Amino acid sequence: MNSKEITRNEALRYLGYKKASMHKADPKTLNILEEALRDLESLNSFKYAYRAFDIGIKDNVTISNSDVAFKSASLSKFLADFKRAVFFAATLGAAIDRLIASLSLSSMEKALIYDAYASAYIEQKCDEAQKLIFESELCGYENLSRFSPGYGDLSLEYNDVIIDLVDAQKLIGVTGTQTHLLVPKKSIVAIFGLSDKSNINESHKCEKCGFADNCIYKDESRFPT
Amino acid sequence: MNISDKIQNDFVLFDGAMGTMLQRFGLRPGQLPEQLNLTNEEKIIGIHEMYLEAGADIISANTFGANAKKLKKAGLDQAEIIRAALLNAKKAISRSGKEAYIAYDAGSIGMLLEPLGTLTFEEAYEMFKSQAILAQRYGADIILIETMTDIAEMRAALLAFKENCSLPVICSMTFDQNKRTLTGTDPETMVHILQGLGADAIGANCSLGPAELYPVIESITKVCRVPVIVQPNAGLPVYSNGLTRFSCGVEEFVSHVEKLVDSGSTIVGGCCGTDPLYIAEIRRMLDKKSFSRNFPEHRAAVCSPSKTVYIDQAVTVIGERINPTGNKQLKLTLKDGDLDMAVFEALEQKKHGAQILDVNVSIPGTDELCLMKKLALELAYIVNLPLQFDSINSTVLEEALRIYPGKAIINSVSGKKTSIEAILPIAKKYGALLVCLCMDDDGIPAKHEDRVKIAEKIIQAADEHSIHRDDLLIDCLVLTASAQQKQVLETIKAIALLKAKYNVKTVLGVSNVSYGLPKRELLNSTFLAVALYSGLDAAIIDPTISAYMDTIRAFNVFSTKDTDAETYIKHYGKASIGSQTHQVDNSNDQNITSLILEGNKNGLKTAVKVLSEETNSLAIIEDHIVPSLKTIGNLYEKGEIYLPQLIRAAETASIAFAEVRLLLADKAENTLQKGTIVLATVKGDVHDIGKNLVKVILESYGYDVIDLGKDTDPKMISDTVNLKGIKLVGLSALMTTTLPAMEQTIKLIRKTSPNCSIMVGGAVLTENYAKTIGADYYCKDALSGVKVAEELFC
Repeated sequence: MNSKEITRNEALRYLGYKKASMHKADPKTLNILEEALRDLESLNSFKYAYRAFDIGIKDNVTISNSDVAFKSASLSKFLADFKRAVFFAATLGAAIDRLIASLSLSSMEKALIYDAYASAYIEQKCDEAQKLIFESELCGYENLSRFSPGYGDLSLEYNDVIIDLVDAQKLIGVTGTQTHLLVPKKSIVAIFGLSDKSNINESHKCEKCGFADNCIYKDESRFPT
Repeated sequence: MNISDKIQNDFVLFDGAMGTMLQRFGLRPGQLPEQLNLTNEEKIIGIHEMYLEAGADIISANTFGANAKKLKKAGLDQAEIIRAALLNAKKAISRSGKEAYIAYDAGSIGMLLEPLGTLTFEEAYEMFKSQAILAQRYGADIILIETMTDIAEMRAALLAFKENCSLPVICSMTFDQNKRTLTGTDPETMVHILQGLGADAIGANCSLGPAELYPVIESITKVCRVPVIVQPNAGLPVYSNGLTRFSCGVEEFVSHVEKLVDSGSTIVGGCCGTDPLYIAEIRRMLDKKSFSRNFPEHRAAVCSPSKTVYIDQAVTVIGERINPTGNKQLKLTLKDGDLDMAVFEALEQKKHGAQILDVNVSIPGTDELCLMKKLALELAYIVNLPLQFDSINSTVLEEALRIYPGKAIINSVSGKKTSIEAILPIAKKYGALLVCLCMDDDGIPAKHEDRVKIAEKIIQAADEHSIHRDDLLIDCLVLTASAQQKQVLETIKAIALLKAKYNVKTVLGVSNVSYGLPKRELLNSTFLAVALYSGLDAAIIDPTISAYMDTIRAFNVFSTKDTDAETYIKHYGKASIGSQTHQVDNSNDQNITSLILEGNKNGLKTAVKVLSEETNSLAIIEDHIVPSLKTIGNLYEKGEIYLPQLIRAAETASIAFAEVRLLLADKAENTLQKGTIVLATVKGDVHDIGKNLVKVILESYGYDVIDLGKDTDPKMISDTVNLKGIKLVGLSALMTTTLPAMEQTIKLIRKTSPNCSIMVGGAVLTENYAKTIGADYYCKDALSGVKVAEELFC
């Protein structure tokens, strides 16, 4: 599967399709997904910013030579094999939020599909950005797994910490609300490890998130019911 | 020379980066640079001294992040930090023995304001206000608000500094390679908005290098009538392997800065990546140049946050449809605090060619001020057309202008002394344009000469308030042909006379002329054509009526405002081909369920009409539509169809309801009230797609939904529930951090409306958690809401 198909299938998953049912996706839905792709590409608004730091891990994850600490057992576990990590923020910008808001007044069907597609699309763009980062940070290890505030026991308040660390407000316009949500809405804040080793323990994204019990979007092959 | 004179009459050189220097000296990740004002004052003084030595006229105090939000998080005292920062700058100047000024440097709070984010204008304002007071108290000479990415925040900052200290204020925003700020504002729009609010200098800094900033500065100097500041980065930043590098060396940087000066910037400095070497070279370059300045002509401009409309080109179309007078449905929804229909009207008018939207939300017994502010923000967020605030209440006008992240028109001021005294100062303060009505205490004069006299009075008063004449839109007013036929052409004469005598801009609400007569469109468009010929600049009309837009587009051709009829041809060139295609109607062969499922709205309308001939209206709903929806709901639950199809079906079925309602209206039956449900996304949460889906499905089943939107105040929800005697409320929250607001809202509703049932939904909610916070129903998906409603209302 090429990345376009992967993104489309992710969008379908957000819309409630399961792996087994994707082949019978409704043609109108597929057409609108195509349209969403065209609009997102013409907006061309994906931006990201990051900083790489040496880290120390005990019960917390700390950034070396600083007072910054992430109190989270899940993040400590996720980064256990790493000595250096990337703190990352990315966004599709405010324009797509506006577009979805205006669509929701004329066609909720379209708004829903655009929303799902934008969520999948930003993940794809983040994967691409992550590969570039691995390249420029001379990293041999290339696994596209990311850990975000809200996963496991890493509280959403760390959205603000990462935004400040990478200067995301100034560089790419990502901000947190008083309730630590990200604005623009289609934004991602995450952490991932840098290493030249390749034998690193992986956990699947659904496993590290911690909400799989309740999640209707989870990868069912990992969580048979 | 004092600083205000200096920025007007000389080149002014700012310093270079503070952050870059601090990082070189070992600022640690996560550490606040402002803290160093206390802990490492010698380091800070040293940096200032280097810039003074390099020849800077103004040094920026180390206060970029000294706002209450950032300092509080770090446990620092704001007054102490700001006092220390300004003291360090003073010490540096006195040690250097040079004559120099201190800028209080204000950066972003780091949160987006409504409508993009959740921070209110007032909250942002307060955070800048405390800085303004301390900046002046501890001896700053000038204010520099810089690296702003959001025009809404920039406005709040500018107003706070203007209103709480007496220092000149420089405003500088940061732009992207696409020549817009990160939230979408273009340079021209920024200039119009900020110079309208009285900024003392305006410009751009950061993000880009000097070469990339060149097109931005060109756009700025084209329209900016105050000095222009530019502080570029030392080239584009590239972060790699733990280090940020800037591409532009000193020599290259200064050669670009020289070009920026030649294109009209008179205040220059450096941003990220620059150091004293850069500043010293700029000093040498500036010292060889002779100062000259050439401001462009004033232009009548109105702005949304990301678009400027000039009222000096082709005829300007101001859409009149957002007005509850004469629009019952809009009145009802606005009264409930539901803005969706108003925003929809805005989008429709935009689609049909409106360039500016008149906004009137005056409904007896409702809070006009609150409604106007909310709608202004929502329209700024979604529609991107400048607004014209239409109210007879000057407080409503002022408050709307204050929070609107653009530059608007006031509708209106009249020749009455009280009106002039109340409205002109507001227009001046917020840079708003003004619709000026040719009427006074004695009403509308019959003769055109007398209407012109009133206009003269307003023009003179505007001159006294230093409001530019081009910012006045004189409305000569038209009376109804059915009642005062002889006076209709007086309006035309008044426009012509005003144009000849003063060449002021004119505006007119056209449709009044035809009131009480048949075929109003014919009268309106004919009158419009005549008014245009006599010099009308802007028409307040309903752009969805094609006769008016046709007239305007045609007139733009004849008046040569539409050069080579380009717009006209673009619009009408293909009109004869295929715009009248009719959908093949085979609805009779298909059953209702498949029409709904396919989203065949026309087919469904026809099917409903056919059914209405053989059965009564309610039976159409009860026996045909609702069973179909239930079938479709079952298909969804079985996984045969998916959410987009469910939503499409719901949107289509709503058409059937609208049809049936029309039929019922004819028969004066009104038994289609299934129940009214209030929906809202809770305070602090901006994710509303789930709530919107629930709304569509509820409406498809015939429920009336009052949608209170996102980030909704608990009190507003409980008040609405209480006031309207609502039986069912749906609340949505996406994240764990907004669940407390959900709980709080539930508690408040319980207190005031104990009989109201509450359903909740959202990604992180569970059945158990819903119970814990006191909800009656947990909705796992979009369809669950309607099940709850069917149970409750049956």
